[in-house]
Amino acid sequence: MQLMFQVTVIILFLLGSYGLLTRKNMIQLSICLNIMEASLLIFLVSLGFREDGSYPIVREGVEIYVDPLPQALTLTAIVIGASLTAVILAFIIKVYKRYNTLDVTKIRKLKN
Amino acid sequence: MNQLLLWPILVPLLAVAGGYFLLRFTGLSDKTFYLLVAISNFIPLVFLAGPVLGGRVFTYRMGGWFYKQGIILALDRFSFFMLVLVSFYFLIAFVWGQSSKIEERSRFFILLCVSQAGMGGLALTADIFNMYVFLEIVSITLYALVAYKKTAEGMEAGFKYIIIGSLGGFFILWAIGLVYGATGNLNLAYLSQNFAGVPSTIKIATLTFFTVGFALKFAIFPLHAWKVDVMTGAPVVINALLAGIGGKIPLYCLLRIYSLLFGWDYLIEVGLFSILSFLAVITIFVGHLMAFRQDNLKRLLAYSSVAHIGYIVAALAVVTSEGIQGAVFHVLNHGIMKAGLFLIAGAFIYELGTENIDELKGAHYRRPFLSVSFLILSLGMIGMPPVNGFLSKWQMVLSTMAAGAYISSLAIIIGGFMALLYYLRIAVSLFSRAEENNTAENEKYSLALNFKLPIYSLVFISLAIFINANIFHRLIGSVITPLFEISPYVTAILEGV
Repeated sequence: MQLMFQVTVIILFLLGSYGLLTRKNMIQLSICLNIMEASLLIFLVSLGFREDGSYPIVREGVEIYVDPLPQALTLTAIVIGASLTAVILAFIIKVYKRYNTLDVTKIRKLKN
Repeated sequence: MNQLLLWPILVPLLAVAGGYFLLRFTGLSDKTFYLLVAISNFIPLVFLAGPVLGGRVFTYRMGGWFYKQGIILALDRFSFFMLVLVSFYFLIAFVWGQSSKIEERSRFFILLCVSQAGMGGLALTADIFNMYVFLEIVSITLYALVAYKKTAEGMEAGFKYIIIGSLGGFFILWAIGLVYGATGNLNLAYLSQNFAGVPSTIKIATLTFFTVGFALKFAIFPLHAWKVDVMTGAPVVINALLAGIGGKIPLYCLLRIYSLLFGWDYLIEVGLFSILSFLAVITIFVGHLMAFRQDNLKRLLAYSSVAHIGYIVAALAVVTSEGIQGAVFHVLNHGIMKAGLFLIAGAFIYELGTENIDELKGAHYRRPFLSVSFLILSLGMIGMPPVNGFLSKWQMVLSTMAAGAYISSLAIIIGGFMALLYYLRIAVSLFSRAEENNTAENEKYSLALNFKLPIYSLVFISLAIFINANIFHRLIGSVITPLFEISPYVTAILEGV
């Protein structure tokens, strides 16, 4: 189970960074950032995983609980990621209004 | 007393949250209100200065939780030093922001306030996940501030900054996850005792991710390119803020993590500092060489900033207390000088309407005091005696030489000569006669007080530091002791004093 999480995390992170290096479209770039972020969120959640663990509310007859702290950390990280995405999209709207294109290379050409 | 630790975080945030209603119903001007908030941030510093500099460590448990579950704020000499810098540069930004030239001023002040709360939190927190959160708060507000003028350059700079900044954040988050997975705790004091037993592969991975993540934020050689574009597009006051504190506070976090989490002995053992000093030397040369080729004044200053980060890291990388003292001293000095230079450049750009160095000709006739101030501060950047830059540079050269890092000390000296060449070029441009000497335009009108005050106070401070060299030398010497003697910090947190 842990191994599956780790492989997913690594695949997603590499996918995101590959996209970040190759894509030209600003929306796609922001999506790549989000993919990378998602991989980290999965990584954080997987830290709290326990074999046969139950949800972390203390009850009778249950001895193994998953670690609740990484879930709290993940929630915080999700909020940060959401605000990052909001700011990026705001920039993209402004840049699109100014240059009428989303292509990063075209914007650079238009500028010079 | 301990509750005062909340002030630098809480008061700016409350000013943002309640400020709107307060201004609406009392009719107070937003300028005065936010200026008062910025000044009020010095109140806790005044109260805490005596005991903290005497060696006491203050801690505050957020919500009353102990370190195992909760977040702890801790204030020792080093974080106090950073807190003073944060309050000082933000006060400058708020004074500069009194100008009527800034559109939607309230929004500008709100962003500044949130950013200040984030930086205060970075200086105070003793929890690495909390550190990440504050770092992202600072970064997000800085993204918006960089693009504040809504020009095309600003927007593009903001977009570039956001991509790079969030990448840095991801690396830091990854490292934090690794630390948590290995130890089950996020408190720096707890980790300083328990992190040594972690398997070495995880340790190396954590070290790499932390270093790369923070290095992306403070811009050292292979990761520096974004900084110049960002500083070219940003308003000058944000540049002053970035050069003064925004670029330095990730370095502070990294030093905290190095000293508490890993310990200097381990870092020397894995050879981190030979890599860092190599990169720092390259940074110095790249920064100065590129600065030499620029025609745009802001761009030139930005490249010079990159080179000076190189100086700081080169001096840090010898890991002697003298070297780190020189580096921290240069954090102070470079911030003051570069903030002053950016603000003066801003005044020139505003008045002459050009960022090109060659078009600054004859500025001396219109603005003799500003030009002389620019000259004084650029002398400091080169490392000439009457200004504070000389002191820290001298110490960095001596300490790198004493530690046997001759290449670093040579690079710092050569860097000074290269800086001389391009600052000389600006000075020649400023003090030469303009071709068409239009006397009608030469009439003197005075710069607004809110522009004058920050500029001249920065020049004054940089000269004052030089005159009181002994005091500041001793002060910085005591400020960096927590980096080597971590036990007071750790016991204060673990025992919950």
